[in-house]
Amino acid sequence: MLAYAIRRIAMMVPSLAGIIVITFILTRVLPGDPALMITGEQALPEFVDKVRAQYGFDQPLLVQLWEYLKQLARGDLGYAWHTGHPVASDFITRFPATLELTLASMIIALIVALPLGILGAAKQNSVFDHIARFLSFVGSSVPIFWLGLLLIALFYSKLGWLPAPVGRISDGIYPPTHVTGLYVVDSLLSWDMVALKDSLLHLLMPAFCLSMGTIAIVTKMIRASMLEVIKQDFMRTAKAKGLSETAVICKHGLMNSLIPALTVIGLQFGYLLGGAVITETIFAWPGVGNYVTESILSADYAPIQAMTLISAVLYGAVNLLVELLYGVLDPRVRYD
Amino acid sequence: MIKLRTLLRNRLTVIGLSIVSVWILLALLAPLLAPYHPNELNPEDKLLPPNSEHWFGTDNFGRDIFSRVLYGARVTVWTGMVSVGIACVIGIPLGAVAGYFGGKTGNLIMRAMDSLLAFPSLILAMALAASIGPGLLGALLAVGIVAIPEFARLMYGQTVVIKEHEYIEASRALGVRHHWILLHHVLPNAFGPLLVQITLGLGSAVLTTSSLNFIGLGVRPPTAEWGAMISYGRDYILSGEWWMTVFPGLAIATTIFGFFLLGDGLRDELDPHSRSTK
Repeated sequence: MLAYAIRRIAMMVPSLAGIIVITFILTRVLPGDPALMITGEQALPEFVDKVRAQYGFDQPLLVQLWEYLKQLARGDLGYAWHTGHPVASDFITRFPATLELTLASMIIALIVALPLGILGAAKQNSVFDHIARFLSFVGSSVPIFWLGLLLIALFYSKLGWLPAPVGRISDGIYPPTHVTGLYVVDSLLSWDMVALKDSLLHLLMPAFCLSMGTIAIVTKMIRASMLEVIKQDFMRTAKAKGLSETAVICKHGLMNSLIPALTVIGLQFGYLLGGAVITETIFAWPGVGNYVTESILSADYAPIQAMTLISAVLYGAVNLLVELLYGVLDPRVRYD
Repeated sequence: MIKLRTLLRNRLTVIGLSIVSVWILLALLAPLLAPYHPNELNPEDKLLPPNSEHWFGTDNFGRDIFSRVLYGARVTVWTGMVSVGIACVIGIPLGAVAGYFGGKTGNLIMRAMDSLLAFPSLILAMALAASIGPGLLGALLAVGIVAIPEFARLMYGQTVVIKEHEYIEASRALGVRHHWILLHHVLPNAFGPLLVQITLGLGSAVLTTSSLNFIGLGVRPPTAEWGAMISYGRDYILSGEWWMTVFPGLAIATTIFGFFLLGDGLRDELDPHSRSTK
């Protein structure tokens, strides 16, 4: 398994090299003069030229690319002028917020999608099945930004059940002591129940909003693979042995239908990172998604390059992890 | 080839096709059906809730939301078709060439496609839309470019299988040119899966374009576009003016719903294996 993992990581290198070049070219054709954006419209032309030279924007594209590669090799992700911080430090500050949101939405998605998909398949063409199929269609059709606004209007504005959709914790409440950066986990670790309740309430709407697409696709996938598994001989044998239907479905059916579903779940992490851009914008969530939007709107090269590279690396890492999990779920899987 | 009667046996296909057809008709007939011009300002009628004169209410400039939703359908249908068209025109030949000829060129094409697929698509579309520049053209080009790898990958997979068939071998033995084989044998045989991908791609294109317009990386005001309309309504939904947000959102959701139902229905009919799990 280790040799396979190393080989897979080595295979990611050409893809990552491609991503670095593509992102570099894309960001260099962004409209607007970055030197002017750094100095401001009112700056003297001499000062703008000085900044242009300082950041190397006056160099030919290939020279800039070479410099960028050397910088990456040193582990330096560059400097975000719109925040005034190195990109790495911005990323470290903001990533826990996105991770917390992504993990929470994945948990919600699995809690909803697993039973729905299983019930849909076990009771094919029943009411459950129709609900599962309808929800999976609706979930993939509803735009996140629209759903987010409707949730805010209903649960914050109309019913007043949830706090204002701004950030991760209410203004008057101290964030928990920093351990992992995930407010819910940190509140539990420091046993700060006030912060725990408030951060959970803040997390609920954006996480649910982000989970809709994943609920749709995971329900569909679990249902489809479960329907395939149900027809297999070993399922009939398990029933013939006298096992209850629940045991047959949950013990034999679910384990065998998890592999295709796991692939989709892995791929969904990539989707969640993309979806977080919209969700974080609507809920003023101080994560990486919001950072990407700000960087794109202010034509700040370094963070856009770094964030696309990081998200591609994360995406690749999650998919590798998923492939390695196949072997855990199914002992027949061999990594040759 | 696929027979229309076979496709219409499936309920999902019929429902999806009906929804999509209604929106296309509304888009085409918008100038006849819309009671007002989409950009007509009536400050004295601003923020009116739905009523007999303004079925979907009015926005903060007094513009009729029903008329704007109808005109928005034109932008959406146009954007979807053009962006998926771009993805098809570039992605299908790339995938076909990579699959048919293979070798270093094929490998290079597919690795480039894999690199593009590794990006979260919305972030890539945002970066592209920002780099191409403000306006609808930037958004639809961005959405089209983002969808290229999906079409290339599908066509690659189809071509690799189809090129091994005996009739292709026979054509080659007869000295038929490669481009003729690709155009007259490979492409028609890959038509079914491509049609499914085009339909699903149209739904995704509507979703991505409206997301870009919502963020502000698309149409310029005062163009009536559903994502942009929701963005205008964002500031008013908390004070109770829900109609500015709800109606354009319903329009987006039903259109995507229609395309996805149609795509799924088509897949059911065209892929017997998939039908067995439905």
